[in-house]
Amino acid sequence: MLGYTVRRILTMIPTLLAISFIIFVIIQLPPGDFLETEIAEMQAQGEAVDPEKIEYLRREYGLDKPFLEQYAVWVFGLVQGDLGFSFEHQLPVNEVIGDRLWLTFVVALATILFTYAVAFPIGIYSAVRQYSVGDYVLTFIGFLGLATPNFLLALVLLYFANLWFGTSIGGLMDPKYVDHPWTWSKVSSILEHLWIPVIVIGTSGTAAMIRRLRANLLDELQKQYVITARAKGLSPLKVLLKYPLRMAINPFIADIGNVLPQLISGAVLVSVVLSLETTGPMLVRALQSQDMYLAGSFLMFEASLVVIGVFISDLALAVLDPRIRLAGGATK
Amino acid sequence: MTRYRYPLKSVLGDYLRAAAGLIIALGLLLTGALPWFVAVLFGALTILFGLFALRTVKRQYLEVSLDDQGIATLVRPGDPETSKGRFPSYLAWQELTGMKLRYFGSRRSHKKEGGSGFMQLTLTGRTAGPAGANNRKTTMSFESSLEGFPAIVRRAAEAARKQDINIDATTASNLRPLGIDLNADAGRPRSVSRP
Repeated sequence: MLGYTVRRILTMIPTLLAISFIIFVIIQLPPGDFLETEIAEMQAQGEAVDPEKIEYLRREYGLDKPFLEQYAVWVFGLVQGDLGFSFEHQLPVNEVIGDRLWLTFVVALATILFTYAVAFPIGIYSAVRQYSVGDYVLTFIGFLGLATPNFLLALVLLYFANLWFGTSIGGLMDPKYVDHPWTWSKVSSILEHLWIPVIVIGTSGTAAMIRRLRANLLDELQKQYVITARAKGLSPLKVLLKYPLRMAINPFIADIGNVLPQLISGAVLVSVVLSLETTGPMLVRALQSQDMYLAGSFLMFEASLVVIGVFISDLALAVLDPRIRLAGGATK
Repeated sequence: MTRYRYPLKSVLGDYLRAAAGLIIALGLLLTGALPWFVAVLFGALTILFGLFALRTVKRQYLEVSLDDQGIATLVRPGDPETSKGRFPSYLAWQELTGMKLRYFGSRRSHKKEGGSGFMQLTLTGRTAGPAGANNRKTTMSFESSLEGFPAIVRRAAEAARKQDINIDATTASNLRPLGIDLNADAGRPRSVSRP
């Protein structure tokens, strides 16, 4: 495993470098830069623009430097934890995003755990008890979850959370804790607010996962090795957990790389509705205003999550299913 | 008795990997004041690549001896004829208690014959300790870049069948591309043709 882990980490480095270059090219693609957007806005409002001041700011922000030099400075700062300077907020990006990256990560992780914790038992039950009353009821609930728009569920849950539990509307914590140092009461406030976005974002993913797990497991349960294992007298639980379930969850493990960023970028609408202090709404604003380092940092964060997710899923697959496959993708 | 070593080409590749990882991780760690989480990340990577470098050094000098009685390993730096060697380990085939053959590769290489993946054979068994002492557990692990890897796997599979050792489904599945079928009735493992 050590050799495999080292090889995988080494392939991540050029991948992340290539991604960072592409991101930097893309955020520079729109004509002009942040300052030109600012000048246009000021001129539209009838304000005078001092060309010398503009030149000074361009030098100050490093926008007059060649493209590759700007890129090199940005990338070297990234690996040292310096995300650059936000033109719009006139602050280092680290200070602008503050706890947003962490809170986004917490929401995403909690949502993944919620999705797995709910979907796995239900999916297994539905497959093992196919066409039972429980299977029909859970399938119906699953379809409801798939069909309900996230933002609608968010509004409904916000209303009832406030009505029944007195939870403040919107946000990931009580407003008095925003921009305050970390304390236990701030953490408990986050936990009190966290369940709403977790349920809202996780519901549709849970329903989809139940359906896929049920289908995968049904396929596996009908294979001959399962019949043989039963015939040899293995307990039903052991027969289920030892091989069919491991095979059935392979696609989910292979999917971890896509799940992490989808949860973050896919939850932008929910974040706006719930006023969550996550990265989504700020990324949209940064892209609109060409705040290149802020937007670049968010995009790099999401890209890193994809690469890390694929790395985790490859390691998990190596542990769970270290089989060789011959040409054609068939397991031999 | 047949002796095998890791070829210089594969060891050189691992040295390059270790060097690349150490230069990047340690280099960034030494650049200056880093936030704590970045320092922890690069510190962990430095340890990981350091361990990998040590393992590669050991592998460069590893000598594997195979015969009908068992398999032995010895780390022998310097001239094979004169050097005494260190860390000797021996496993008699009749003391074999477990055998695992795993395949490690990216998802793409899993689906492609001759991809970038590699196999790893792990043998476990009991080796007699000093007089009066209990037998101690011995574990040996070899990667497919080792010269004579198929011969070692074949011999281990034969011993596993003779000892009636339980082979897991993954190992059985990975043995087939090497032409070894554990379900053969008796005698040497028979070859299976690829589709």
